[in-house]
Amino acid sequence: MACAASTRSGAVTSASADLRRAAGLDPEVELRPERFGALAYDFGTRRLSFVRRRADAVRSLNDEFETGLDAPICLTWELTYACNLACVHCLSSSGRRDPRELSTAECKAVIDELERMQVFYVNIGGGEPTVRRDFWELLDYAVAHHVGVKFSTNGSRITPEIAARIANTDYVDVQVSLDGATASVNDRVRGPGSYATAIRAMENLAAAGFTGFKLSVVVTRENVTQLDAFKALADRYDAQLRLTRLRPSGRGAEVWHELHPTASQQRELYEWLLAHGESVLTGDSFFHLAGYGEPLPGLNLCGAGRVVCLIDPIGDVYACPFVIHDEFRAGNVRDPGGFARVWRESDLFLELREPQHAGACGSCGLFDKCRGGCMAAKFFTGLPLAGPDPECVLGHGERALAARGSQPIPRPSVDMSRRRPRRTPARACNESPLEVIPAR
Amino acid sequence: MSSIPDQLEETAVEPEPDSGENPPTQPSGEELVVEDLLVEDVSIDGMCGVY
Repeated sequence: MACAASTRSGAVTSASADLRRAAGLDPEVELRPERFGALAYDFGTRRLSFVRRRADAVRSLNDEFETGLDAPICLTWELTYACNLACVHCLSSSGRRDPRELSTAECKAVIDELERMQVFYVNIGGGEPTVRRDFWELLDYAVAHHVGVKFSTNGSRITPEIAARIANTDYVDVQVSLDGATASVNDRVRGPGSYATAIRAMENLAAAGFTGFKLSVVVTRENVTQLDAFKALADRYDAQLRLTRLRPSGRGAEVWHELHPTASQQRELYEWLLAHGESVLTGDSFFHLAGYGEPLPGLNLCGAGRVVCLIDPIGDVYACPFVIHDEFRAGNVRDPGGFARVWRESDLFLELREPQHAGACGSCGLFDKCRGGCMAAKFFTGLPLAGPDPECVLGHGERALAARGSQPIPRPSVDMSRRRPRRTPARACNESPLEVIPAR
Repeated sequence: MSSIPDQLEETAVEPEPDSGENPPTQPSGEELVVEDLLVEDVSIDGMCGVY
């Protein structure tokens, strides 16, 4: 399909104008050409549409995605490893700032590149991204350069003034992290005081009139019984509930075995998600559960290096945010050719876009549904990538874990966890992790 | 089309009536026949590699 690039502010070519009119697209919808047609992203509804000729639609979209896109549709950018919390499951082992962190100018150069590649928006995280002194400057720069921003925060910097500022900025979305619908459940994972901090942030966002922000929850063995309470909490603030899967990544490797939902809880989670449809966001988190029946909303495949990737605070590019390990490092944005070259030409990403082997799952009747599950979950539990997910709905992963015994498992390449305090607090919980980095 | 996953919404694209307000576009290398377009929607709003 002939279709040239358009931008919200720039010229629109005749072909994309035809497409835009044909598909009844709003002028604010951005179009991006792809080899199989075009992607259309609506910044208002945050929905992605794939436009192609019926005659060319021989392969499913999942099959198209598995061979990679010209640019990611979901790019996670961890701006800093610095964090004022020390969550036990932190996927990036954050805590201390890396002195090699990208400078403000380097971050802006990356944003310029993302604009040229028509990356519709970036998911910004960390660490706690708002502790970067230039965070708001970078956010404004991205929006001004047609790269939407969704950032995740523990809420510690979301004051009433900041909430009002965010509410008045187009193309910005916020995810407030909370891993328990009660303080006791949440604070065991995210640290003392973090529940109250997150609730205060949501109150500030709601008071500022920011609707539709996200309440982001990592589903664990301890909070899976609170799904209705999380939904009620999100509804109370006119927010939307987003659930994501606990991975054995970063510090999560140390707690995964005790915190990941049990097999029966996985089944309950699947049924709950099915019942709530698109009112609860999950992205591509739970495609490994599709073996239970019909697929859940969202993408049902591992998009690592194909449609998603990670840029870490020092500019390293990984196939996926959950595999911060040298084996999955594709390059660095500081390398010649920058991010675009890493995305389009790195050996790792090109390899991931080749047909993957199902391995031990090849003979399973459910493979077309779950596609073997999550690469990161397998890698950081020491299971072969061509084989079952550790949370395989048929129990194959559990048996594979038992069979592998105590063989060493890969460790994350990065650990910026703060050192444990040498002196013992006089009382438990009398030192708030929120006070480690003072507010500006 | 059977190869489209169930979770994707398939939308038949109907041509919009020409209001006459838009100037005629130049033909691209390949004419688009709008009835032949397939629009498939998927929500990526929850996709994010951040806790």
